[in-house]
Order: sequence, then structure tokens, then C-alpha cells
Amino acid sequence: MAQYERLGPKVLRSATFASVATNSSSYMPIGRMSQAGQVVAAYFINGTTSSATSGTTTGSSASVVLYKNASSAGSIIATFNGSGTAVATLASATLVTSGTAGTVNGKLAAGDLIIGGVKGGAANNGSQLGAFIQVDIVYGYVDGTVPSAATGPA
Amino acid sequence: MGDLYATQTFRSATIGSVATDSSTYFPIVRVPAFAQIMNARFINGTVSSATSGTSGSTGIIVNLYKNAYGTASLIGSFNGSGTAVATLASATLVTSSTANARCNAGDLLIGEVVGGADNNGSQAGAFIEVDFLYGDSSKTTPTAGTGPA
Repeated sequence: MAQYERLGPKVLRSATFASVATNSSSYMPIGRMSQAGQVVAAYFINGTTSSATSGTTTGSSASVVLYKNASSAGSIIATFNGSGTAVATLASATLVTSGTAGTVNGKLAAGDLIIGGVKGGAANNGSQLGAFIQVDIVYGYVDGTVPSAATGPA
Repeated sequence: MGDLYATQTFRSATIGSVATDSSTYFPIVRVPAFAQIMNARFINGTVSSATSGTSGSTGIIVNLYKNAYGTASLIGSFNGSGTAVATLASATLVTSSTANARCNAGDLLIGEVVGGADNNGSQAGAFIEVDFLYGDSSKTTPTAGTGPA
């Protein structure tokens, strides 16, 4: 492992994608893990369109989802729902870890595939052209139980 | 320990050709941790020349910004006027602001290619590459120790 990767996260980015139609979805592979790691942050980064999400819409706008290995509800790591939240030109939004399941899914083994999804909801009137998803990873993770207190020598 | 000093490298998406008197902006990466930009380059694709080497006036200009595009946010730039960047070659962006090159976690790096009035090159397939190191050296130089009294 390179030393700098102990000091800061490894960053993976998706390819830039095109605008997603209303009531449609776009999925993209982002990276396959070379070793065990943990997702510590994920962002949706807008390109140069005026707004990638429908800030004024309270209904279903565009949502951004990060998955592990499969694009299904049980594989979600983190999400961002753009309904009512504008992501302006050259700005970003943070994907929020999807509860306990997301924390578990955010722990990755070597070979796991990270997948991004952008869903254009019924009220999607933004443009996602030129946007991408960024994922920050720290190699290694902690998934054991909390150590019990030491009792010292008898 | 040599890789203690290795840089982390990011590239923008490849860009299309920029029209005369026009600009294109594109996000490159959101910096994950405190870091310092060490190098930035404009790398040409497969067109014969991405810049106007024969023009003495305004060809293209390549800029790298932090968080917003504007003079105050400029990190480095390359002016292609009179400097040809050949096929599969590169040009170094010269640092404009050492202070702007120091990035906090969450700072967004933004690239720009400006097509000037005399832009007669093609930038199709080109991209910007940025090298950075985690941590920075923004603090003042420590004063010499005086030892015990």
C-alpha cells in the first residue's frame, strides 16, 4: 500500500454521464475493489448544466444511489435525493449513508464492484449532463465486535 | 519509503473542441483530505494541435480553479497562444496562486478551457491532469530552538 493512501482516502470517480430521462434510470460501474476497504464519503458532482436536480420540485426529482455489486435495495450504500435540493453548476451534494445497511454495505471486500445509479423521477426537470459520482475509500476496515475491557493479571 | 512522496493524480473527463470566443468548464474532483496541488498539465489528445502555435494573439487558455471560476480562485494556468501542444503531448500549467493550491477536504477542483479570438486549434480528446499530495506546508517556518536555559 502506498503511504499516501494511509494518510488520505483513495478516490474513485465514475465516467461523466448524460442527462437521465423522466421515469428512467442510468447505471454505471465505478470501480472494482483491489482489496478490502470502506467507503468513507460519496458525492454527486454536477457539471456545467444550470442544475442537475429539481430544486423547486417537491415530488420525485433525480436521485443518486451508490450500490455494492448489484443495483437492488439490499445493496445500497448511500443515496442523495435531489427533490427540493438544487445542485448548482460546478457544485456537489453528499450521498448519505443508507442507515445500518448502508454502513454494512459500505464495507467492501476485494473484488466487490461499486455501481452508481441516477434515477430520473416523475418530476425530473434538471439536466445531469456532465455530472459524475465520486467515492472516497480507505483501505482496510473494522467489522469486529468491540473488545471487552481487560481485567488485568489475577 | 519512496512512495511516501508519491502524488495522487486525477484527470478530468476528455473535452470537446472549444469554439472561438467561448469557454468550457468542468469539475475534476472533490479533494478528499487536506492536500496541496503539486502539478497540473493540459494533455492533448490525437488532434494535430490543441493550441494555436502560430498565433501571436489569443489562442486558448487553460485554467485550474478551486471551488469557483474567477481570478481570485485561480490555481494555475497555461496560455497556448504561440505555443503549440502537439498530438499526444502536454503543457504544464504555471502556478498562479500558491495559496489557492492548498486545498481543504471538500474543495472542488474545476478546469476551464477558454477559446480565444484566434483559437484555430482543436481540443477534442484533451484533458487536464492534476497531481496533489496530502497535507500541506502552509504554516510559517519554525523558529530555531534555543535549547534549555
